[in-house]
Amino acid sequence: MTTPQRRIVPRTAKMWVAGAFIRSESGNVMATTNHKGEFMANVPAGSRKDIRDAVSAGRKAAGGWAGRSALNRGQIVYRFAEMLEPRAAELAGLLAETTGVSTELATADVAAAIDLVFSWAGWCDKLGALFGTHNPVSGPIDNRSSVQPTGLVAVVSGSTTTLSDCLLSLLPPLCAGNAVLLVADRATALVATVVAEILAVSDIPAGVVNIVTGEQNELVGHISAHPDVDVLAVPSQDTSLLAAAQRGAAASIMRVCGVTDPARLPATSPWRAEPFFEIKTTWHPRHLP
Amino acid sequence: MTATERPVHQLFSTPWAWAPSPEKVDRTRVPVDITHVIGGQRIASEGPTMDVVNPANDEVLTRFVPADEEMVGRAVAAAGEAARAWQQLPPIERGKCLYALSRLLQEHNREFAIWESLNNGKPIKESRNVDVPLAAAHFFYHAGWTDKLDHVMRGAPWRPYGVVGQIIPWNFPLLMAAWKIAPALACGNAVVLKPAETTPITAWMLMDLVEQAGIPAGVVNLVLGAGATGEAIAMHPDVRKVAFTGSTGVGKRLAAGLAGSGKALTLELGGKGAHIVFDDASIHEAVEGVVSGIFFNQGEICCAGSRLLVQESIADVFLERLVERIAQIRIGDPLDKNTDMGAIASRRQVERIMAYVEDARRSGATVTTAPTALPESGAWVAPTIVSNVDSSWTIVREEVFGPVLAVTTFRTADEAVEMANNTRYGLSAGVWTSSTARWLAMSEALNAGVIWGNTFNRFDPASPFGGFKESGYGREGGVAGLRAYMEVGA
Repeated sequence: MTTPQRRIVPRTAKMWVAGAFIRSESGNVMATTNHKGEFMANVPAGSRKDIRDAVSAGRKAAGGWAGRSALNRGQIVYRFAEMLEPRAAELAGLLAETTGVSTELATADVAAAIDLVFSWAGWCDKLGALFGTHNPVSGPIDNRSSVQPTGLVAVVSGSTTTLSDCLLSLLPPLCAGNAVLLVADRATALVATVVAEILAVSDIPAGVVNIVTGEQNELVGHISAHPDVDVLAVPSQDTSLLAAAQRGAAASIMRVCGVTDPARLPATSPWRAEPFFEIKTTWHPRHLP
Repeated sequence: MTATERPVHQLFSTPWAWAPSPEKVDRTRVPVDITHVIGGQRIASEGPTMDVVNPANDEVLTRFVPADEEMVGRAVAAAGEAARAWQQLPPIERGKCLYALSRLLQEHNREFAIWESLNNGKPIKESRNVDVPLAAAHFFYHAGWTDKLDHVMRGAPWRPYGVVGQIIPWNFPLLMAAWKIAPALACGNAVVLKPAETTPITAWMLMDLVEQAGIPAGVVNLVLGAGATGEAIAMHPDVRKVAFTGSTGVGKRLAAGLAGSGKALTLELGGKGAHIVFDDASIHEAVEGVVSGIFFNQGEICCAGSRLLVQESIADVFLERLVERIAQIRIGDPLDKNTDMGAIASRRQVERIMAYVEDARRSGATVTTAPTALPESGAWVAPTIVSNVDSSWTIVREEVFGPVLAVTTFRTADEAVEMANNTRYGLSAGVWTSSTARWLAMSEALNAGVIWGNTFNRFDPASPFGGFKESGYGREGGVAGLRAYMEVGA
């Protein structure tokens, strides 16, 4: 709090890649403003190289994250909720300042977002049971379909202005066992950098989540052209961004999905995780020698 | 293997000659010209015809005129109209239709098997024992789902897409038609189906059964044509969902073409399956498995085990047994009940396959071909093993889609996993080992959508089939396979 006697130390907004808080390698920033048009902070303007570094970091961490037990992943995501809770007021204040909503609404949004993290933490070790199947094939053969994280997922939080919607793009792929690259556009950039700071104390291994801020149209272009991203998710309402993502992704058969609006599919629905895992079917004969 | 064990064929001192055992063919069943079936009507396009050929002897079986955009439009309109009434039927009635179709196909098994073999070149033994029964089973399985779909979705809102466009390949013409039509109809959609231009006959025959089964006119529409017709179907604005099985190259073009269209897309593309044999495998069974993996259906199968990864310590013995074994494969008239391996689906395919083999030979690979005499006319490739190659060679990296096995070796399980996963494909893999823990660890580590352990090339309507990475996305069969035809959150 600034008083005539004391100036605040302004916070530097940074991206979060491979567990480190970094600026863009381009050195560029974007000015973010609040709902009144007043300057709030400079956020890094992520570049193509930042994306490549983030993909590289994510790929390195993906195997380890997928290899942990689902219970362990759930425990880590639950700790993220624990770390959010004491910082709720800070987040609510930031959201109110940025978007212009009332403190009451912002507080309710943050509370809902924390509950969303809590709920999704619980899905980590249950998605397999829900979507995996034991298939009754004809013949003495054991046939199972199991759920396997696809690997590395890039998500765009879009122009969402609530914390709940921002986390709704992150949580399903993360809880399905993927490494996630979150792209935060100008509108959500500041909130995303604060989320990064909170994630950093949640025990999530370095590189499992990477947050790159920047101009989303440009960054989606870079991501969709990258041969080592498995899934790209953008808000389904942003039809032009979705089209751009699909065009770029075709060359590598990258999976592209639209993140459905919570009005059409509940935020806690396990179907939100479905685009982020693969079904693997195994067969083995069953007979006594 | 000990000195007292010998492969079965060595137990007989003289080779037993097989007497010809050809199936009888009723030529009147398929007319000189076949047509599209749109809204229950048989409609022919006008223009230059395309010949449909028996690849075993180059004989013309029938002809058709490919559909243009206008004809495709008619089919899509018919599907759109029929979809509404189809969706309004009580779900169990849709189930009864699919059940009836399954039964009819079982009853006509022999006829469909014969024409599948005539058109594709695959042995009658396979089309009769595998292709047609699996197709019938696929309809039967999906008949039972029609009134249970809300349980699949567990309360999440969903609806059918409406009109779905489906494009299928030439390697399993009837089975691929079943894999597409059954789940689409079960979920309340109407279909515009385009079979491959070289193998339309059994799909055309199926339309008779579709009508007899009581499926309302327009719910299934058959449109004949080649790539341009397929593109017209996929790009039609009233087609809301596209399902494609074919080459990765075409799949990529399709995905790019549909970008921004709002359409749902599932793809089942190519593969270069790693077939891994450990030194504790049952060698005789593994040899049979590897042979089945690459020579079943003449190797024209996306999930073929086309890369053998054999553990170093048994590589020499294993390769020896393989070479011996392939000499026993009977190649010949697909309509002969004793034939093991039939004709390649077209002469063009033969050229493609041989280009890969010759390229490997020129590069210094060891190429071993089964010493079987091939028929004079028609499209034929003998079982071929290419060894003394490694991971960077074209023949090891690219999908040949023919009876050609590339052989590489590994020393440790970690190396096998790394080699197996070192591909842009991810459709299938096979593992031969007698260690349960190793089988479980390998099946966990291999990046493939379908993994066979101590068996290979097994299919079932209850079992989801599909790939990771550039082998495509989406699954066919089982619960997971229904999802392609249900729009969630709508």
